[in-house]
Amino acid sequence: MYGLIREENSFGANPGTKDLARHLYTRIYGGKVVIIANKPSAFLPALRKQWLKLMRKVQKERASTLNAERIFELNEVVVRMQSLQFSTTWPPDGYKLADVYVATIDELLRWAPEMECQTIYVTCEVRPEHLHIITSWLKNNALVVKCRLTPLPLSKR
Amino acid sequence: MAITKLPSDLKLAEPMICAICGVRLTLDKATAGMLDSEHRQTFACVSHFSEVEKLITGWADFTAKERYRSLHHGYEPRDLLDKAGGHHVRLDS
Repeated sequence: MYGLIREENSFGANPGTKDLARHLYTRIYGGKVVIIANKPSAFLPALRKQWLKLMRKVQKERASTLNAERIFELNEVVVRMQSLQFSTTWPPDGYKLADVYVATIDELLRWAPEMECQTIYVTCEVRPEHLHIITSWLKNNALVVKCRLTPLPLSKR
Repeated sequence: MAITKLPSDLKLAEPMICAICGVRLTLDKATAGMLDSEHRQTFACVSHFSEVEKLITGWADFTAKERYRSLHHGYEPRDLLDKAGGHHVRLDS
């Protein structure tokens, strides 16, 4: 874990994936992203939903501004957001590479993320020694975000 | 929300300021964002996560500014978006 930026976020007030999507938004140009989750197949649809909601907001901002530079940038962001590939297949399939991977601890212990990965989100309990193994191949100054996700009651979603 | 550890060899612009609103930051109120045109890590206030419009427009303005700066360094406009590879491509290469 030496040489990594570590961040701790308690995404408690909102459904967790909403804040995670917003954090991910600030990292989309920063290489591959890996999310450690207990149940990737349950986590990914929720994250995708928040991602699409955020993309709609970006499109809305683009439509509402008259600033040409901002329109150009937001356009680039929308293109990037639309083309961002999510996957629960780990280790990465050589033919179907993704930008954001959601994987379990066991999967990541078998095959640790490599140097192109710049951001790891930890959404479940991971023992320090396991996290050390998982982050061992990362580049210096990669980001590890520990998230505490608290799902919102159904009535407030 | 907070940054709990920064590597000692991290290239930082001192003092640490928010890339969105320009406010001076402390680690306990900062979140790590994009890299700037000189490959330095930038930070933003964690409070911007709750104001999504500001987050969207703020990062767009930041990217525009960095794109211009990278042009002055002789890089292509799209290099800022292609940082995933980790290397700039010079126009003359």
